[in-house]
Amino acid sequence: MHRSSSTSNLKKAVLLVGSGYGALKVAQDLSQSGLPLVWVTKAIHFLEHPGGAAPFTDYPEDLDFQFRPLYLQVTRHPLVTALTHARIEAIKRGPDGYRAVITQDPVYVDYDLCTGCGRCMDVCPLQDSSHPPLRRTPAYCPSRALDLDKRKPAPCRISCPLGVNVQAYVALTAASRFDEALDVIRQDNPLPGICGRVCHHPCEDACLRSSLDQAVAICSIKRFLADREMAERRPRLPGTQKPGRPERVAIVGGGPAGLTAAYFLNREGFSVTIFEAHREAGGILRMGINAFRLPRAVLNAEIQAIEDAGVEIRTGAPVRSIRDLIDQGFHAVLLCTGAHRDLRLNIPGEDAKGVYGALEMLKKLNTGGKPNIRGNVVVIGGGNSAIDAARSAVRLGAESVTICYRRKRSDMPAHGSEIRRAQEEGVKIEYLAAPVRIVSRRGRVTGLDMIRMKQGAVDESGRRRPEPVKGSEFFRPADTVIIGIGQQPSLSETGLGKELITGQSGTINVDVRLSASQAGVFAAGDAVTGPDTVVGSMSQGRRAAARAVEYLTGTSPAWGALPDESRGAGEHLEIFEDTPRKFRPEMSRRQATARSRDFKEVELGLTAEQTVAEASRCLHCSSCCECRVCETVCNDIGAINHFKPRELMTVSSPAVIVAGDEEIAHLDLADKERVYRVGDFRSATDLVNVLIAGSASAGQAMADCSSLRTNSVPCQPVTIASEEEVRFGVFTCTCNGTLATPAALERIRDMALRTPGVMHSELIFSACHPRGADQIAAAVREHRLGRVILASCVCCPLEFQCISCNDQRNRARIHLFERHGLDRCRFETINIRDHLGSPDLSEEMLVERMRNFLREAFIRARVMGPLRQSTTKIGNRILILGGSEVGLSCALNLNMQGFKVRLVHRCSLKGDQKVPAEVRKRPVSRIAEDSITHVEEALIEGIKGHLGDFTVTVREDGVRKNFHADIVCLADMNVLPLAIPEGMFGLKKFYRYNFKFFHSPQIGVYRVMPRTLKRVTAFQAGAALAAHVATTAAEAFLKDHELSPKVDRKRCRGCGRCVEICPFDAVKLVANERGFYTAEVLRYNCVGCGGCVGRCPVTAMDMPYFTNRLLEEIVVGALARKL
Amino acid sequence: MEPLRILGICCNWSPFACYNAAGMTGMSMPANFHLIRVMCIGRINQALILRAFEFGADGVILLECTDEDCRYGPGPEVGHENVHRVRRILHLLGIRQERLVERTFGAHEKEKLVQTLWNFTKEMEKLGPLMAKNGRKREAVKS
Repeated sequence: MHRSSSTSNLKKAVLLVGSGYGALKVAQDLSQSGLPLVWVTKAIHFLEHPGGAAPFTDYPEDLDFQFRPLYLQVTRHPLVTALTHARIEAIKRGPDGYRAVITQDPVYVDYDLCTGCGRCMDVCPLQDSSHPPLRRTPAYCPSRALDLDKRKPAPCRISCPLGVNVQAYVALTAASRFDEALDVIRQDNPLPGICGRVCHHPCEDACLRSSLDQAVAICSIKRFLADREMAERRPRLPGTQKPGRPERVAIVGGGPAGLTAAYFLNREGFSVTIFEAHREAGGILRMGINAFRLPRAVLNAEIQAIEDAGVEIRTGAPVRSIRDLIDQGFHAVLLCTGAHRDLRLNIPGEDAKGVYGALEMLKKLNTGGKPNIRGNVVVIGGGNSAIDAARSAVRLGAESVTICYRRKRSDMPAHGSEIRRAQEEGVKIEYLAAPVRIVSRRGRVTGLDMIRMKQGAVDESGRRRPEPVKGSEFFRPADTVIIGIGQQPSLSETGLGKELITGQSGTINVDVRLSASQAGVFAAGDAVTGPDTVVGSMSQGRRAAARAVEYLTGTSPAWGALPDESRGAGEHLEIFEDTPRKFRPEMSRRQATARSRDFKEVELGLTAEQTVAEASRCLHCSSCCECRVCETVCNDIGAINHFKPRELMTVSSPAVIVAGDEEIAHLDLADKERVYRVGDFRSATDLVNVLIAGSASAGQAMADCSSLRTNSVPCQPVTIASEEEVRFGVFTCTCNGTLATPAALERIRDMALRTPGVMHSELIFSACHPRGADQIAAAVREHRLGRVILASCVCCPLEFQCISCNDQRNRARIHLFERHGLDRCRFETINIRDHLGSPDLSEEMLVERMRNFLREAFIRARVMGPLRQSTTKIGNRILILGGSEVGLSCALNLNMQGFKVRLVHRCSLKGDQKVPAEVRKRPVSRIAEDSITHVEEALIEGIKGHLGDFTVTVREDGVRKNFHADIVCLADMNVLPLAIPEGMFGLKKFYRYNFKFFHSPQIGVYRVMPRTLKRVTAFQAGAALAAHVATTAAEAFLKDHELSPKVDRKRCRGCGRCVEICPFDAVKLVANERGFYTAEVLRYNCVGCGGCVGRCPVTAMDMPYFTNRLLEEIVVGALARKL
Repeated sequence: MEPLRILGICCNWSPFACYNAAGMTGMSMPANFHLIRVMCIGRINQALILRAFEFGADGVILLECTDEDCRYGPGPEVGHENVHRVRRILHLLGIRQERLVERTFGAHEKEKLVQTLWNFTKEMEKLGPLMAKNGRKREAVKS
């Protein structure tokens, strides 16, 4: 809703907290009396009843609907700042009142722009889930705008080192939207097929579903998405997304870190070249991970995709010097050379024949060689490389393979599933055994001297340090020994070590920004950290690329930062207790005997049905998954902003009104001065009580806040002279393309243009959007259009709101008539949204209906006349008759607000013998003696005149006097009969939702009924009355109603039926000079209902805009159309 | 047989809110039904209703707010009176009185409104087209 333009500016306004009917009444009273107001509620809309109380049962279900016009008027009032999703953070009392800091949680859909077309809901993947994130506010709210429920980011997303939006792609997969899901992954991760097989999936470890049954199989879902695409075509990565840049970047090393860095730099527009020393790129992915875990086809395809996106990969091109690269013209260098040298055990006999490092052996195998593996194989180590080496040994024909690990099974760093697969293939594992010496004969290994280990104290990795058990040595025979205890970088081999500072284990020293010791040189991946996970290295590669972009351009790229927990507000969705427990499927895999004979892939992947079912297990922790598909259909409107921040506002207010106690429970505001409570909604028995309590609080606050009051008399609207030749323009709103098919809309536009008199016909994407209104205004001026037909959801161009009115319709009118200043009388509006919205209309029927609407609109547009409006000035003189407690309270309040008050303490009426006893016995308390005019006792003879100009004739001490006032209040029971003017034909029926508790049949005369005093205290009643008086008087002017009827004197025969029916006392019979009576309409009392017109038997009355002639034309035109 | 023409007159408030809501939720209305909207049914005088029949309406239905719900006050009362009087004139003209009908609604009763329209259309179809139609030409219009 309305926002402050700057978060640090102080806003001086009355502060109102809470929602519901009471709050609405307070807001109405305050704003209409000219006080600026900041209205805060934590709810999504303002009719959410505090405490969740249900509306009153005395009234039918449409009670909330009946409040809609008021809600609309108040929330769009220029003095009201209405904040939903907001709360008071802190509040302090100072010398000039309360200072409150207000936080508004991010509102992702802009209330001022959303048209309510609903296209976002149509494309949201979670729309059919149990908790759809996009919802419309209830029908009785005046806006069709949507609300987006987005909580803090899901743990899966936060735990991914690349920040992949896991929840989004899982949600899209559950909706079978596989291509879109893959696009989401590729925003952050260019290697989904690879990661879907080898990633250690920290996302699954963080998945909250595991507290119910098991984590969602996110890694396998990713694999399915990549495989599915690969089955149909080559993987496609997004290429350069920015304009090409001249700088060239060199990346040394084509492994995970290097490939990822290259992908992001290429996207940013740089020319990227990867220098790969081996014959094929891939790094550890090719060398260290076997084909039965990561098939070469998948690896090659994804590397190819990076090349296809625009990256140059030069294989067989080792880099010996960074200096050379810079001389060749590269502006930045990224070193991603990885860690490829096996660590040594450093025990005697390690150099014998038949002893290999694990990575050394795997490299030979994966570059087309055949390692010499035979006989009994012993593998030392417990990581993934050791397991890979063991499983490869099985496939290469070893007789037996045994892994010796010096700690326990639970300490092994390898994936649990890898260990199980190895054991299925016949690999044996011995725990708590370590080698002491390698025994060889004639230079060839024959076995190892081993020693048993036991668990000692905990070391820095969190595991218990193994200690040798004395005397437990034993010999293990072996024909081949593979040592897989880890790797380290080996820069000295490449010669790069000379140019850089390296650390102890050969890793490159980098600073926090991943810069190496030379400017423009960055490093990432295993070369920096030592052996790390695949996705960890990819993440570092990406970060180094971001640093390189900063170095080259001076600005940080958008993908440089990962989403963090502080974004978004609200707790994760709860797990409902009736969600059934459902477990993960086990992925199908090849049998152990078959698979241990070759290097084909062992795990076979999930099927489509399994994948969709698995994705449906996701709990949608953050509700909206931020897949951002909704933004793509809201391009023109621009109402969705997923990155909207919290808003802060500081308000300084003399008083605070509380309409919902729960909203201030965390603050210490109870029983403080100038804090007015509307009351306990839950125990309120009657709606009217709540509303009067609301007015009472407003009245009390007004007395404190009158210094903030603004008022202004509106300028007279300028009437445009009608043009000689009427030039028509027709504008059809498409409501963001949802109204009808593009073909139908174009036919409608062309049909309008063919009509004689139409100079211009145009389709507008949204009439209630500021840009749409700008388009219309520009076209009106450019083509000098004298009459405009607007086909949209707007029903009429008039200024007031009816029950059907909503915020979108109102906005169109505000933009066109108030902001642009176009003339209302020039506009004819047709509501096509309701008439054409029916889904079973064929295109032919739709166009035909539109033809008829246009024809009727042209008739009306030709017949329309000017809308007349003038204003009556009101001063600030208030006369209060009756010095009861109510009267005193009201007088004091109005006085504090700055009105000129005259108070008559003891009144009697004509016909009373004397002042009634209870009135006479009352003491006269001369409160505020210097500003209130006190009259002790008077006999009231009569009230004449109208609002703004009352003359009250009294007798004071026998002397006849006239008191002049703008407003009269009857505060004593005995003067109530004055409220009924002379000649009135009995009391009229009042609309039950008007809630005009203090109004009398005469506008400008207010009275307090006895039953009101049963609802609230006398003091409160006085304050509420003062609030009502203020809303009328503070405005200082009264507008005539645009639609007040006019009487044709020649036809009127003075029967008085019109006078009889008017509940507002706006029609009077007036005698002319010959003594004949005719009717006359009092424009300032009239509300434009036309009840008098309908009753006139000789059609002597007519109303502007809805003239008799117009209605006739409409009827005739409607019935004349061809069906 | 030419399809029948049904004219509806509704006020801005409860009935139009129902019609509006029905349109927004895509409920289907009778195809030959045409709606005119005014501020309050009190605005409609007897002349207009008779004009409707004169110019070819086979049925006229007034859609009003309930008695306590009229925000101006006079609407339903004026509506009742006018319908009552015009029906007597229709009788004199030889037109079935059932062709003129009034119904009241609350602001939330969109289903009831749509049902009422369909029912009324069915009833008019049972009665058939208005036999007492004239040539549907107007004489000089007085300004």
